[in-house]
Amino acid sequence: MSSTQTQQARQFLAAVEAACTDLDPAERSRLDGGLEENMSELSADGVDLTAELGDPAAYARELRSAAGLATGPTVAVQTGVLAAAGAVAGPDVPTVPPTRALPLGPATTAMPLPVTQPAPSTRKVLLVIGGVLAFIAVLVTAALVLGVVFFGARSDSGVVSVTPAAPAPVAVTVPDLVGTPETQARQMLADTGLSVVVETASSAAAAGEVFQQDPPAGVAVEPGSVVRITVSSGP
Amino acid sequence: MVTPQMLKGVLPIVVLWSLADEDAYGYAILRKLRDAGFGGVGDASVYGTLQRHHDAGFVTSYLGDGGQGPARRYYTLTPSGRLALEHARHDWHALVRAVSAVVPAAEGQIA
Repeated sequence: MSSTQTQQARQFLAAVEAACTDLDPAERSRLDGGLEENMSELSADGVDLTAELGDPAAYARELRSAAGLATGPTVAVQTGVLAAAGAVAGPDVPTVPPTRALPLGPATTAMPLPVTQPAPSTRKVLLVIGGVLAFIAVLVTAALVLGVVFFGARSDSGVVSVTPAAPAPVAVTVPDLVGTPETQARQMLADTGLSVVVETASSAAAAGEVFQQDPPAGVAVEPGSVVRITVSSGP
Repeated sequence: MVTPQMLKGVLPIVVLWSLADEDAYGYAILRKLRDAGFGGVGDASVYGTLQRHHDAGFVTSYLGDGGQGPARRYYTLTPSGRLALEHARHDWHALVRAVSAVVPAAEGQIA
């Protein structure tokens, strides 16, 4: 290592140490060991220290994160973290618990979990969506029921409005009454919604049977119109 | 590219993995990872991860012959490190399957 490189290495080491003053001496010494190892190997492989290592503060953060230590002076150093294999990789993934069984970082300890089973937050979201859908279903059902009741009532009233004298814009067809008994003719006209005027006259038809009508069968008239029928009194 | 967050997640596995076939020193592992496509991996990440594996008992180290210049510290997997590597391999494939199930395999499917 040239003297310039040694100088650079010392400065870099000092800057990294300055960024690790919050760590206890044992941890700091371990990190220093790693850095010295790093610089020594860079030098042995003929790599330029400054270009390779970059900013000392950033290097310190990265080293602490990778080594499983808190990455900044503001974060409390976890005691026992030296022995904990899968310690938190950085303050941005605080939910990963330190675990000795699995040494590997957030990818192996944290990621498979949400993949294999829905996270609580996912379940909560699904519940909310289900609730909203159920609410919408209730609203739609209520609207359908109300609609049926409302339009049903309207059509009922429409039927009712056919029979009174007030003319509705719907035409009815005059039934064929010739040959029917008077009572049946009256009933048929009433069922159709027509008024009736009955006359009696002597005819060849059987007594009590309609033998003439005006208007004739098949004519379209307004509901409530008068149909004149002539009932035979016999020959 | 491998983002820093992704890298942080897989680095412990790939560092362990890079020792599966032969012992290596820190900077050699770093070069290996960069050649493999982890362009953004920093020195501190590799050396820090090695320390963590050492603390966990997954690797031990010895000073090897540096040829010319200073000696290099070589890392070797312990039996518990090999066991951890097997677990990691299993977990990794589970992760790949899960990710593949939701990420389209072909490019250009995202409008």
